[in-house]
Amino acid sequence: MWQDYFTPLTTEECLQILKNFQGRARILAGGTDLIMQLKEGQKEASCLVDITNICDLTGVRVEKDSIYIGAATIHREIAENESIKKYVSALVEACSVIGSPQIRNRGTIAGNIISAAPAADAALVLFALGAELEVLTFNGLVVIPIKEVYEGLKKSKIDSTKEIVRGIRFPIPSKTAGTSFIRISQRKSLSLPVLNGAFFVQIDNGFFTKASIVLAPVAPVPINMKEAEKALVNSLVTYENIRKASILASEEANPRDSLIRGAGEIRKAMVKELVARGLEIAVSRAKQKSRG
Amino acid sequence: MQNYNIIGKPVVKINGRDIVRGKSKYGSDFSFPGMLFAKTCRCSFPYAKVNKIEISKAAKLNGVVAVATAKDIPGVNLHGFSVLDQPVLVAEGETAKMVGDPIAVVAAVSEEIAEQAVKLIDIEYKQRDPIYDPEEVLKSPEKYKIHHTAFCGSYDFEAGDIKKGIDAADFIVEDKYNLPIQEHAYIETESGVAVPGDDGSITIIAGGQDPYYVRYSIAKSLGLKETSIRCIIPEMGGSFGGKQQISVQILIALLALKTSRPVKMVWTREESMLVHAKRHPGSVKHKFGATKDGKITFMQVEYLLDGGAYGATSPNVTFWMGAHFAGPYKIHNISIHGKAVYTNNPVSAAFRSMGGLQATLVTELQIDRLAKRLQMDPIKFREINFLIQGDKPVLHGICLNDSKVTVGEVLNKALNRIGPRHSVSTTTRKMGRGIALGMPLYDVGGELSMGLRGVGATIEFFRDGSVEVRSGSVDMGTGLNTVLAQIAANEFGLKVEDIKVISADSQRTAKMGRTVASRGAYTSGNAVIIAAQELKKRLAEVAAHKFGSYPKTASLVFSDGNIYDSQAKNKVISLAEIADFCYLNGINLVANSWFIPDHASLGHTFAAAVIDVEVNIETGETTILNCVIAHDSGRVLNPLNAKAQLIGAGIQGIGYALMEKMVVSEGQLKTTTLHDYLIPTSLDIPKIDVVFIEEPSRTGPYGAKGLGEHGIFVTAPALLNAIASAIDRNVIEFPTTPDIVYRILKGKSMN
Amino acid sequence: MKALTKQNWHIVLNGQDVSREIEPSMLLVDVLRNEIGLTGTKIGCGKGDCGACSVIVDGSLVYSCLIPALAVNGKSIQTIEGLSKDKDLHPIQQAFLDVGAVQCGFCTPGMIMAVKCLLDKNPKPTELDIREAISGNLCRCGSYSFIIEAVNLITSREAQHAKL
Repeated sequence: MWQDYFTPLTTEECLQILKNFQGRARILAGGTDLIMQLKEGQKEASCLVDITNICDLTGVRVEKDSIYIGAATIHREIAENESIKKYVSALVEACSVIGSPQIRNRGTIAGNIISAAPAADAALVLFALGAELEVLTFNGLVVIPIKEVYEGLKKSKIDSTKEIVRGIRFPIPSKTAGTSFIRISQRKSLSLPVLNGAFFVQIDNGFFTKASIVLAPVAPVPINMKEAEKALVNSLVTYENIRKASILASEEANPRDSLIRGAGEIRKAMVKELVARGLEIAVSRAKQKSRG
Repeated sequence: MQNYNIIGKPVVKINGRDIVRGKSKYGSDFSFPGMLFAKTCRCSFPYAKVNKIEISKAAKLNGVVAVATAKDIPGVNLHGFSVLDQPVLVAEGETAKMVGDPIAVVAAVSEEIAEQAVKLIDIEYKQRDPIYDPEEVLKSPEKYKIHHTAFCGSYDFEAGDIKKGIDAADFIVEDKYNLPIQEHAYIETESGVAVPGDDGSITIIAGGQDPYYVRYSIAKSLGLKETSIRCIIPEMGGSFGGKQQISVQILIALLALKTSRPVKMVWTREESMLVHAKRHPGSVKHKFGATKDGKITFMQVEYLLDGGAYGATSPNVTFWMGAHFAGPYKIHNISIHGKAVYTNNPVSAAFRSMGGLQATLVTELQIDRLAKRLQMDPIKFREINFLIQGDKPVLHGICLNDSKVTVGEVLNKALNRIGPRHSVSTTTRKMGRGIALGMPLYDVGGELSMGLRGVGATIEFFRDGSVEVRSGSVDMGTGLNTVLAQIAANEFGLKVEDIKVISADSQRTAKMGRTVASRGAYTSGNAVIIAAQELKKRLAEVAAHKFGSYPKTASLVFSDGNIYDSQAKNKVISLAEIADFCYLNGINLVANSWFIPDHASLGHTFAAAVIDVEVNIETGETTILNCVIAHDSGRVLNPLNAKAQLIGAGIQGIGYALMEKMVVSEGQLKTTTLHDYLIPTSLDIPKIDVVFIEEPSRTGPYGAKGLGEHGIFVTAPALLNAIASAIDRNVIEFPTTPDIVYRILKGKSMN
Repeated sequence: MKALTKQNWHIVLNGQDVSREIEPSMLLVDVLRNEIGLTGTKIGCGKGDCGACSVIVDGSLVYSCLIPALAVNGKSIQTIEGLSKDKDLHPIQQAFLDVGAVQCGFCTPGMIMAVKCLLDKNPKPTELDIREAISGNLCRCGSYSFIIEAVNLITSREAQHAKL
């Protein structure tokens, strides 16, 4: 267990501590995953650097073409944020179902990504939106697309002993775009999903012009259903095309057998329904938005 | 039904004020000066001979005060309620039979140090070939037995002529149902403190359902006399049958005696889930037939339970399960055969209804299937086959037929309460209604299980007139102590606040046996009434003397803290005055009772559940819309508690059918947390409505019957029948998690 | 093992200033239970799966088993012990008792804190609001609907009180 605990007020101070401890200090935000991992020896740290007192790291900001979310913004704040509600319904939905009220009061958006759990709800939506992470390293700021953050099952490219995520940025979905988030779970709170999916579509003149379908846990990391997306783009928005894409997604997804989450084969079949429903909702939202 | 001021009223829990203020003390909340913390070193293999245990490194760790192994156990190194076969600590040369078997215990100045020390214990194992499959054991018991016998339970009952019944049937349904494990998942894990006395005595404060059994077990294992052991059951964070077995008690007693210091042990959630005995997994082959006009002609059942590594209460569960298959139906040709076998899986034992749920569930699913085959309304099909007043229940002629309530009445009350269905199916959302009936038993006489017969209670008036009720029963959250206070208050004409209840303290309370099988209020309630009446007789005689009317006491009334003469209202004397007089004049202010019923050993009740569900056929998710439980409860002593018992049990039944999935693979528990093993949350359960049918029983306290377990029998089958009806498929596999429902949906329809 | 350097820790606990020197590795729940002796906050899993350890930190409900004590340095903490003074019960506590929302009682302190947190922000919650608010707290005895009834009783009592 850790023997030192720091609560820096700036990111500079924070990086300095990380530097001083040479890999033995680790960033702590909400701690909803990390504390358990430390207790059970899955991760190690002799020093924790609590970043929740750094003001710059929290809050949602609408910029010219994009939305920026501070890394240490908690799920509840995102779910309640008016701009997020206006632009990205899927993120509201995802941030409202993570864990439980207590988890959403502590867990942070960056933590959800860095934990690299294969079915992290909020991260899935950010995946679908093509978000990028701003990471402060010893050598300055780097920007990493969220897709590159995941290196494997619960393995993140972000090394919290050396760097700190400052924020997450993604383009504001256009007026003709819609998002949705769907989660199938064995109970309605405090549970990991059997399947979850984030959907983003943009519709112009009756055609899909952009489509993103991100599913989990159907692989060690959240993944885009590329064939399904390809099939959608430039195709007419019809029930048949959605159905076709959902079948492609089901073929593409490869959930493994899990004693807890169910047989891979069944979950693979369920992908079809999940994707069809997710796309339908995203499409109807896109249409609604462009009308309104 | 007679009315009372206190009986049948929603009296608030007598321990409630402390609970809501966070003042109540549970096992883990106690601390004593100089207290040590204990941790257990456990076997990580399902079946392995322990060749060598090396504790020297652990013992040397700074802060470690004692390390104990089987060598430190002077007495019998075994425990087990019905079968004495579970090692307190597995000794060198002995064989551990399940993952989690305890091998050594450490006492240290902190929990962290004890934990580190456990990791320093080296154990040399020789692994043996484990057996996990009960069917294999049944096929070759000699080959696969891990104890001197392969069996830890059996049940056999036959009546009528099965062959004739099969021949007479126009329709037969036959299937094999697999039963999942159910974990108790009480929010408080097992915990306790042992405090040594200066005189070699020891006090154990730990959750359990029978302090006398704990005392006996500790005495046997540690070579002590029972007189030097005091077992106190503190406030308990749930049990549901799971804390019946020995958990921390012997180990902390051992360490406390070895170190002469108080020792506390609190199990982690993982430890709790791994080690305590769970609801038996198993399988049921159920064959069931009826004529085309809806008369059941036979029922043929074979079941096999996986008892896991030790016997615990497997014999009792096997019996109890067998006794529930016939339910409230008239079945003339019947054959029920069941066995429980040992395997190297985690131990199984009692969980609320112990087998009764499993049996009721399979029969009720089969009834719906048979009705479907007959193209008959499932309610009508049931009605045709109801036991009616005067019929002897099929399986248990010994059963107490204690009131006039019929099962049809119970079902009708449930149906009336739930009312018509409002929701209609859409293309993706399918609505379904399911019903289920049961005839849950409860223990009244204690003949069928070791040590349950004979229940004592004590009532003592102190000189100042204050009253103490002492009962060996355990209030594990049921509100039993409140009910006992209500009973005493009612008898003496006092207020509930005037009654102090001491329960489950082996040094202060008379033997009750286990608080199990929905027997607490029935048996201890009766015992309190008997004691009260004896004491009242004495107090009334004193009053009669004072009033100058001795020996006539018939007109004396206990009311408002006084005794008065109903025929001469000016004659009033306070109980405090009488108590003072008795104290000074050699009249015994203590009454002890001993309740042994002269009637049969089991009581029965009827229960019904009706559940409406919505199944999303795209995702396989089930939403429960409405749920009603009706129960033939006899007189309800306290509606708040009784409702909570039926609803609480009902929710556990829903959890069992809907989501609770304990995964064991090759003897290893895969679901070790409460986010892997899922119990219902506030978002999963709708408001559950309860209907009491209050026709007093002839023998219960004020006409009460047992009800603690009875909700669980019927909600699980009602839910599965509702899902089956919504999706028009047979539901054989459960828990019905979304993936399972989805798979069933893709299968064949029922027709 | 390196000897741990204790750090200064100051919180406002149930309205009272509390200062201690604590080991950095201590979790909030352990400090509350073992150092300060407030055992009303329970531990059911130690992993944020059950809610028995729920307390309110600066107005928001958290699992105290997942929070290093130092993470709440300088903050205001409310535990079950802070709800009532002496013998008077807080309206939430009274309502829990009156409707029978207490069975084994082990989840009760956490549940009451969840309800407190809800009512502080939303004095007139809907049934779904209540269900959501306690959805991070498990009750194995199955008291959920009684807790909902308790909250409804509180709001109706308050409405009545306001009328008088």
